[in-house]
Amino acid sequence: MINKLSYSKQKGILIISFLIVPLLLLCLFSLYPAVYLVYLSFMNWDGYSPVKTFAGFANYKDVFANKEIWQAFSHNFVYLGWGLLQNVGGLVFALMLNSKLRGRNGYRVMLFMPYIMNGVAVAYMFNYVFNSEYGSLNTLLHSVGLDSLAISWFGSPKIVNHVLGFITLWKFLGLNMVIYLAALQSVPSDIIEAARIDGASRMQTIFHVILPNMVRVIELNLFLTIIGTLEIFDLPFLLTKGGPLGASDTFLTKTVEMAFKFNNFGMASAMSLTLIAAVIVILSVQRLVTRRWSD
Amino acid sequence: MKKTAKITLVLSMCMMLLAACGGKGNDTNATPTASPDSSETASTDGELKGTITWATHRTELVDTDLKRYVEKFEAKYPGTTVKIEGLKDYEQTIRVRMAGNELPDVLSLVETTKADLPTFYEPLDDLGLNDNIYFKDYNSYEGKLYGITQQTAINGLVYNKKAFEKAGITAPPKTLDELFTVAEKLKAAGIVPMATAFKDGWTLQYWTDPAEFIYGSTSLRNDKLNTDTPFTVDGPYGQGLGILKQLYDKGYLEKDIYSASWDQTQKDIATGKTAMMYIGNWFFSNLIAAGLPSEDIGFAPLPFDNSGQFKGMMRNDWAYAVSAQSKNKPLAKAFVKFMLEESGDEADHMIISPLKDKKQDLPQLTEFMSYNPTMLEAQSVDTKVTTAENKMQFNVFKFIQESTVGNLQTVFDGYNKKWKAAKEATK
Repeated sequence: MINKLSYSKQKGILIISFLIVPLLLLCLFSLYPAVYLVYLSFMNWDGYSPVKTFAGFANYKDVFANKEIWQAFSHNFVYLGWGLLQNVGGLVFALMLNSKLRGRNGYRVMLFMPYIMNGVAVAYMFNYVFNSEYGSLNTLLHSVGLDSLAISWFGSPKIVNHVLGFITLWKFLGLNMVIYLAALQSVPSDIIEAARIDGASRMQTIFHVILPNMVRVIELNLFLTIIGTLEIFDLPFLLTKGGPLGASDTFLTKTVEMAFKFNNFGMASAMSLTLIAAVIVILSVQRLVTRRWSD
Repeated sequence: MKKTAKITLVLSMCMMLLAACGGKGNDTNATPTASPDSSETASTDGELKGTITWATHRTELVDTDLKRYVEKFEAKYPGTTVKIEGLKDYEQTIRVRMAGNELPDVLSLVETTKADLPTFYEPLDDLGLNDNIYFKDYNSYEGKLYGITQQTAINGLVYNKKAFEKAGITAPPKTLDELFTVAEKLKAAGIVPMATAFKDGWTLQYWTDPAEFIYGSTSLRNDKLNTDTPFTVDGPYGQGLGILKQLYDKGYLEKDIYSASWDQTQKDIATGKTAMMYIGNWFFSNLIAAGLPSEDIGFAPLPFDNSGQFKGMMRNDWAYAVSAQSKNKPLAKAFVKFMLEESGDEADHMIISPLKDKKQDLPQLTEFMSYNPTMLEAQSVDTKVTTAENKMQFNVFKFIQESTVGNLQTVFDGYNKKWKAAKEATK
């Protein structure tokens, strides 16, 4: 039967039949839950009972009126700061390891290794490093006589987010570096050579030739970093449980608490959607800035 | 014509796929609760046969003791199989299954509103244990019993006798003043007087007991409904939590409380680095596992004032429950009864059986009782209270943490304000 159809018809049938499965999966596992999330955010629901009552915009009002949630969200910006530093670090290392350095492959592997490690293992490792009484960092500080610096790293409300931010930097720097490295290697060597011949210094080559050629990739890395930092969850959840006294709560740990501790799935859904909106706003700002810079 | 042909093709393929998915879905729905054959073989009256699933929060014992109890049960009733499922993140996992109507046959009861109990759980009145158990009212609704606590816990001051000896202390404190003198002596001897596992938070929940001792009743939490300002500095909460606060202010808790974790606390008390902790009697077995011999564990009531009168708190634990959806209820119920009466669980883990007629001969409990404490039984929490608490996002661990390190008046003012608003909003 199919053989009698024209070539274009056959093509159409083929495309459609191949597309059905992924589209169906997309609807089932991605679109349906997303729509359901929006639906839940307008409901009062405790997570298990069969009854859901309509709440209107009450959940959203509560989210915006709740000071603690926004305080927790401000902690995310500490991570963002460390995330930007992580991009700078990744770029510097990429530039260094792109030159003809002896043993550069070894360094690349070393820097990328933390990213491969399991997040939970990383958390436990740093739990040991930063423990105030038994930790290796404080032991080191005591042994060199810097006792005043050996503080309670996870116990000081002002420090704890920076400690956690540092751990994210350690973990994700390698990923940024690898992406930058790939971009660096795709910068055409003839334009770099041309710049050299025209008498550009190494710094001038980097700032005026290499970086403008990888704006897209810098943008991508910033995109990944911003999403990652605004949605940071595992480290504070595993290491501090939001403590001390909520000083390391993030928007997501608050959301999970709202759903599973206070059984308020409606408000938790509203929080998730608020976070999505916040991510979109911040990403648009980022795009605007990088656009202007690349022009 | 072309278009319609294409659309029909797409639609029909979609239907086929959906149908396939749906078919599979129905099959898998049944398996987690009970294997399909159990329903057929189950209710041939009197005969216990088939398979049930038992979900438990006691993950650390799943492959050892609990497995042994199950083997014992299966040997007693040949032809039965009990599948143990240890759930690490117990409550969240069960809540998700609750929403999906896929509860395991036997489980640890996850709290719902009282009116929802019959929706999810099976009445256990026909086990014939009603007159013989502690905390019967806790999980009852309209005269029917839906959950039996897996153990009864007595909260008291657990102390390391060797650590007391080292600091020259001969007996546990009998008054509040003595508690501070004892703590001072321990501190002077280089021992941390009181453990809290402050960072993990949940270990602090027992410190509301002194507030209830002072109030004279365990209805303190429920009675919040009658007032807009339940938390006052000179009231039960202020005085009760004030004990912990004074211990903190005088430096009698862990040196860096924000790093003090549950894991480390157990080791420190076992080695005598830390001397005391206010916690339930179930803690003994943890200490023994951490290397402290049983004869070095002391257990006494916590003095809450200077009168020399003692009070003790009895709390319930997770409760055994049978799912209302279970396909093999007789077997599930028999298993609950077996666990309570014959498993030997309470002796193995040095806990107190919820059955009133089971005698306990732990020396620590004899010591505790020698002080003649008035025993209080924990009460179930009014649904209205939990609703309002959830509305105000009341986290009792954080509440105690904040009152310990912060200014009581400021902390209480904040919570009173939230309580009043939440109470009115959920009326």
